[in-house]
Order: sequence, then structure tokens, then C-alpha cells
Amino acid sequence: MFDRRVVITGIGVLSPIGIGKEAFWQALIEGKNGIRPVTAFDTSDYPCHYGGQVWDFDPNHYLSPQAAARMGEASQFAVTSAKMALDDAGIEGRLDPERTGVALGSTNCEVRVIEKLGEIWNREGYEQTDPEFIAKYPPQLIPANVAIELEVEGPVVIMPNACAAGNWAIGCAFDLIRTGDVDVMFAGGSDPISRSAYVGFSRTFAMAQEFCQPFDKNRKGMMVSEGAAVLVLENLDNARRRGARIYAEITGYGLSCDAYHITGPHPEGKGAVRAMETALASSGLSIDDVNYISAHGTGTKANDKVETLAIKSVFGQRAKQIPVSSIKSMIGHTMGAASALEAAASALALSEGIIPPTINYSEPDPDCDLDYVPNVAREHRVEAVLSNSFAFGGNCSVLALRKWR
Amino acid sequence: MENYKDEIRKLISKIGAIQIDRIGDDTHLSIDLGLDSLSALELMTALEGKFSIRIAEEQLTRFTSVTSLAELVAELRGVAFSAAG
Amino acid sequence: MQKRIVITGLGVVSPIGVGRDAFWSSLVNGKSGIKDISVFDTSKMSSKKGGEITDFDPVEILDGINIAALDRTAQLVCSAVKLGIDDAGLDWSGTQKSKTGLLFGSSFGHTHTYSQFDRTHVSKGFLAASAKDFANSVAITNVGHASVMFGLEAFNGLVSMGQSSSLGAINLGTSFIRLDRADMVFVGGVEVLYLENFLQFYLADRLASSRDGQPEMCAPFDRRRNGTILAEGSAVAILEEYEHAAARGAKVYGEILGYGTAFDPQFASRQKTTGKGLAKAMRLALNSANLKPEEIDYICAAGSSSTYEDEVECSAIKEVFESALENVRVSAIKSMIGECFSAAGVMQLCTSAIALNTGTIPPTVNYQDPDPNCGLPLSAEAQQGSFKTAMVNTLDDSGIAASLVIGRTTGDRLVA
Repeated sequence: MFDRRVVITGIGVLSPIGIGKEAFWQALIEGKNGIRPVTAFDTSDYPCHYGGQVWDFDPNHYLSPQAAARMGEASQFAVTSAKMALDDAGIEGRLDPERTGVALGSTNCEVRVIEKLGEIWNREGYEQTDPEFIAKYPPQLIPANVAIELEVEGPVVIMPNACAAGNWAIGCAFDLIRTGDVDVMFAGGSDPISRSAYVGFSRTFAMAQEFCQPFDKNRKGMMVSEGAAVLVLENLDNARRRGARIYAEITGYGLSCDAYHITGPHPEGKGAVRAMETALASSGLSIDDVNYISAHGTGTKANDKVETLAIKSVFGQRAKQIPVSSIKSMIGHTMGAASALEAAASALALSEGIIPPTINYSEPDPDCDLDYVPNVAREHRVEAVLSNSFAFGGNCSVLALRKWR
Repeated sequence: MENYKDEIRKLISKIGAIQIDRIGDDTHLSIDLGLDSLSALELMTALEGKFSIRIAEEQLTRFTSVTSLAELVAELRGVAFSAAG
Repeated sequence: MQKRIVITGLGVVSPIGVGRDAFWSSLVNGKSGIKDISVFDTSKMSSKKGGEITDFDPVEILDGINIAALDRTAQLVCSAVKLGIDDAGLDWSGTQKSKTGLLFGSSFGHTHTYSQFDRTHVSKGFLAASAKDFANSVAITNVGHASVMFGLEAFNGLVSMGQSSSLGAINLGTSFIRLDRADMVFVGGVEVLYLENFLQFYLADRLASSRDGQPEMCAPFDRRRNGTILAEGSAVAILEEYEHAAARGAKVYGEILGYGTAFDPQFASRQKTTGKGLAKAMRLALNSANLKPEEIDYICAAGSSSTYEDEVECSAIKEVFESALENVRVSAIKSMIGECFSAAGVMQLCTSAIALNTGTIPPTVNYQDPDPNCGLPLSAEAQQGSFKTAMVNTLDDSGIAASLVIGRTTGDRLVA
């Protein structure tokens, strides 16, 4: 039914380890840690003080003062990343607006705006609300702002599917190109650091103190973080015709839901297994084709154990031969942006032939006995990647990418 | 201890939307009453607020019954008392 | 030949009634659900009305399921899903549930819980942070609860396109069935009425208000309109692949025939009235349905009583339909339910589906003094006839427009 193929031709990134694709990739392969003491809000009353931010980000470097002023942080991140991706793809001025769209993922969208409003409401009451400030928070403004900046006229959507959101957005963008509705999609995710996520995860013992140690025996939890990534997804014929540089091909994706518990994963990773199997099946990939898994790997006791089990369920004996790494060890958990950043890293791993490491890894856990590419990046002819993401409510989305030849 | 048990029972009833007469001293919170991990954390916050104590992650394993919780609260408050006195 | 997608169940929790029959009865009788808001203090504002749902009992609807962990948004979602299940007479097992998914449109569903959670720990300290409120402060939890409660395993997701959110969810559900991701999808929309989102609309001057002696009412396309009236609610339509529905002898309301969406980058700046985005969405919907404008019998308009958007919609409809407009009926259900925002699109779908089956089009309430700039064939009375196709429009303030076309399938006909 669908003979259109979808490739990634542009990448824009804002992350705690680097602003821009080059800085991001360089830091990933050097195993840089982007987790530092949080400055976005006061953590003095909390038991933890570390987290990830897009350090030194100044929206005025990338946006006009008027644009930056009328947008919340999630929009600023998204628009900046989209412009970087546009530039990286060399596609400016070559878009057919009606056949271009925007699909993004997030958790709670413009959280910093809602938080600041709450502070004003606590201190002074609702009557002191600034109309221009409150106007920034509707979620749909995030992809709409990208569409305004890029003058896009096709489908525009944001999917607040939390930790699985980036893959959802990229997956839906993939579908739209394949069905021929559009030729180009700006797809990814954006999430500014959420004080309430920080407090919530910390309060429920899901957060570590100072660094993230996915799959390590002594792992204590995630590090809450922020970031954004936007990829240019393009119809292959389009990309070829204009001689675009192609990072990787997206071959398919899988969705599933544990439908088990509102926050904890199914003990055997039922949803994760189904999502990985569907990603493979819909891509025409076999378990032997995949030679890198970009893990969800949040660093919590529960996720890393269940994810390991799920990978072994899907890949059987082969599981131990596949390098699995979690870039959350470096950038923390960027929530709705996470799987978009992981898709960017996976695309770069495919095109560069290097796998980013899982850093902070020192003691193996018998429950997590796969090859997690500990601490040091590894040169590896990556052929096909599965990129996992699992969210609250057992929401699982897995993206499949293949090397472009 | 008895006072603790009654207060604890009321909190469990409110948080889990469970009728008080179903919550015996030794009724198992998760097996008999279906209280899940999220409710346990909610209960933890409520207990900390109600009794001015601080519960550590390891102590969540003691969230098994009203009796075991009352013992935990008494211990934690006992520590508070001796520290103050 | 792509799979045919049919509608096999409806669930509605609205300001005009809970359940399909109560909803429909209010619609055809022109009964409005707009009332003085009681859930927050409006004493210092000149807008005091909203489509508040005051007769909603989730405990009763959810039939003994423990809902202690749910916030109001999740209660609305789960209730609509349950009502949909009951309406469809679904009696489905594990294997079928693994091929059943859930997709909802929502924009502000999580805002109140998020804001309350944040404000509580900021003012009372870290230890006051509640695990339950934290879980509910995350938007996806609104639908996560429904997936857990009903065992919906194919996928669960949220779509935000502002007012166009639930049409986006409906389209995604259609697409996912065609892509074999599910056999059945609960598609819906939810919005809640809280001060946080009310304030945003109020301060943007988008709400009807009694300032300067104006009437605070929801009067789509009426000359006296001076803004919209915010509302809450949730609704679900069950989408199913046609053969799958036929095989289980399902009741079928109608078929999804086409969809279109478009964005107008100039819309938000309001430099001039442009129906460009909505017109394009409507054309795309017609094209994908393989229908011409003259083959549409009923337009269930977005008509929200907004001074700007109503005019835009008129301009778009006239541009697309031209002379075919003579034979179309148009109505605006927000005249009764208010601006249910993300839930509106699916409520409009429910309305259209029932309208096609009963041959009755609901009135547009408060349509007494037609805006001469609009010129749409609306009526303040219910209309009877034989209607085979309907179009549902949604238009968001940001410029995201969407349009859906449905048709009556041969066979099944409901009695009103």
C-alpha cells in the first residue's frame, strides 16, 4: 500500500550536553555528563539538587526578540530546534508549505509558564495575572509557533504522551509521509525542565542524587532534565531529487500499552515486548538485523530491569550480542523530548558508525546482564536500531531506523 | 498505639476509597485491599504529615497492615521523642 | 482499497446531559447547558457563565470500579469510555483488547491538577507533594487511567490541536486501524472547566461578557455575539473496521468518509479575516471522501459564538460550498453545550452520527438576529429530513483547522 520511504535529512538539538547537532554528537561520543546543580528553580528544600538543563541557552540568539518574548520555553526550544534542523537539511526555500507539517511530543507542554503563574496566584491572587503571559501556555501553540516560523501549512499537532511522546510524533510524521499526505515533516519533542516533575519523581523515590546510572547495580533513579530535538523527515524521492544528505532511514515503529498500572511498568514488560516486536514487523526487520538498541534506560530500578527482560524476550539468545546504551546517562531524562533526542542520536550512530556509551556504569547488576556499552563510545557498523521509550500508563513506543546506503 | 491505628485506618479509607469496616488491624493492604504502590506513596505522605515523621524508602516494605504501620509510626515518633528529650 | 471505518458506539458526558440519549434529547429540544459557574469564583469578572457539568456521577457510571486515584479529567475520560462500551454492547475478551486502542484530544485536561500540585508543594513544602496528584498532573495519565481500567492494550495517546484536537484523534484512530495497529479504537476528547484555562480565555477577551450591557450568551453566527462561553465534557466514539463490526453484528451509526487538516500561519495575527486554513481542510476532507460539496447534507459547524472565528468559518464554508450551500443544513451545537474545546469535535461527530440516523438536525439556540456577514443556512428550530452525509468543522485560535466527513451506512437505523 505504501511505497514511499522516509529518511532523516536534518537534525536540530538542544540538550544538556550541547546546543546544536555537532556539539551534541561530539559530547555523546566523548561520554560527557550534562547533569549539574539545577539553576532553573530553587532546590534548597529538596533532598536533591542536580538535574539537566540546556545550559547557557539564550533564545535571543536564535529567535527575533518579538518571537522570543511571545513564546513560552517549550515553544522557544521547539522553534530553535526546528530552525536548526531546517538549516541542517539545507531545505529552506524548498518546502511546499501545503505538503509540510509539524508533529511534536511533550509531557505537560509550557510547564514553566504554568509554574510562574502559580507563584503569582499563590502570592498575589488571580487578579494579578498578566494577559500576555498567560496567553503563552496553550499546548497547541508549541507546534503552531514552529509552523508560523517555517511558514508551514500542513498538519500541525502536539502529542503530550510524556516519556514516549517523541517517538509518537516521529512515528505519526512517518505515517503521514508514507501515505502521501505530505512530503516533509518537522518531527520531534520539546520539554522544559519541570519543577513538579522534579519534586514528584524525587518524592516518589524515582530520582537519583547526583548522576544517572542506567543498568548499574547501584542505580538510584533518573535525573530530571530538559531539552528538544527536531528532525526533518522527508519522502525519499524528495530527498534524492534535491541531493540531500541522508542520515538514516526510518523503517517503522511500534506502539503498545501495558494497561497494567498508572505509573509502574508491567513486571514482564508486556507492552515493551509488543512495541518492539511491532516495530520490527512493521519495518520488515528481523531480530538478526538489529545491532544497536537505544534504550529507554532511565536509571530507575524498575525500568532498567523490566527493559532488560523485555529485550531478552524479543531477541532471545541474540540479546547478549546487541549493544544497548542509554544516553539518559549523559543528558538525563528529558521527558517528552527524550525519544526525539534518542532518535537523533540513533540516526547519528547509524551514519557515523559509533555507538554512544552508557556512562556512570561501574557495577553490573545480575538482573541487567546485557552489553550496555559501558562508559566509552564504541565504533560499530550500526545497521539497524531500535529506539525504546516507555511512559506513564504503560505507554510504549519503539522506533526502528536503518542505515542509509 | 491504638490511637495510631484508628488514625491510620481513616487515612487508608480516605486514600483508597475503602470502607473502614473492611480495614482490620491485620488486613493485608495490597493483597486484601488492593492498595497499589501509588496509594502506598500517597499514604506515606499522609502519615508523614499527620504524625510529623519522615519515612525512608526502605520502610515502604512495612506498608503491609494497619498494625505494621502503627508500629512503624510509633518507632519513628519514639526516635523523635528521645531526640527532643 | 483502503479499509472502511465505521462508528459503532457513542459515549457522552456533556453540559446538556450524560449519556447518548440525554445528550441527544437536549440537543433536539434546544436545551442549553450554559449556567452560572459554581466551581470557581467569578465575582470580579464580567463573564460568569460556563458549560459546567453538575449532574455527573462517575461512581455510578463506573459501576463500582474504585476511582480514588482519578482526578476529574480522568473520571470524565473513563466515564465516556464506559458509556461508549455500554452503548456498543461490547462484551470483549483479552485477545480483542490487545487490538483495541485509545486516542483522546485534550488541551487543558492536566493544567488544573498540575498547577494545584505545583502550588501545593511550593507553598507547603516538599513533603506536602502527593504521589497521586503527581501522577495525575501528567497529561497522559488522563487516558492512562482508562487504558488500565478497561485493559486497552494496542496504544493510548493524546493529541493536542487546540479546538481541533478530537478531530485529530479521530483521524489518527482511523489511520491506525488502516495501518493494522488495532481493530477497534476509542477516539474521543476531554476538557475540564477550571479557573486556570477560563482565565486565559477571559484575559484574551475571547469570552462572552456582560460588559457594556452586552448579553453574556453563546450565540454562534448571531449579530449580538460578543465571545464564546467555555465548557467542559468528554465524549467517545468507537471506531471499528467495517468487516470486524459486521462479523460481531455491531450496531453501526455511520462511516468515516474523509478528513482534512490545514494550518494558516497568518491566522493568529488576525491581520485580516481569512478562512484559508479551514477552507483547505474542508476541501481535503471532501477530496479524501471522494465527495463534492453538493453531496454534503449537513454541516455541524465549529460555530462557537467567537466574534472572529464564526466569521472565518462562514467565509470558508461559502468559499467551498458556493451555490451548493442552498441545499445544506448547518447547525452549531456549541450554542447549547458551549465551547467544550478539545471535546467539541467528537461531540459534533456524535451529533452528526445521530442526526444522520434519526433524520433530525438540532437547532442553533440564540440564533435570533443573524449576522449579515455570515449568511449560513442556520435555524433556531430543529429540522427534519433525510440526511446521508455530514461534515464536522473545528477551528483553533492558533490557526489549526480540521474537517471530517461522515456518512450514513446502508442498513442500521436508530430510532430517536
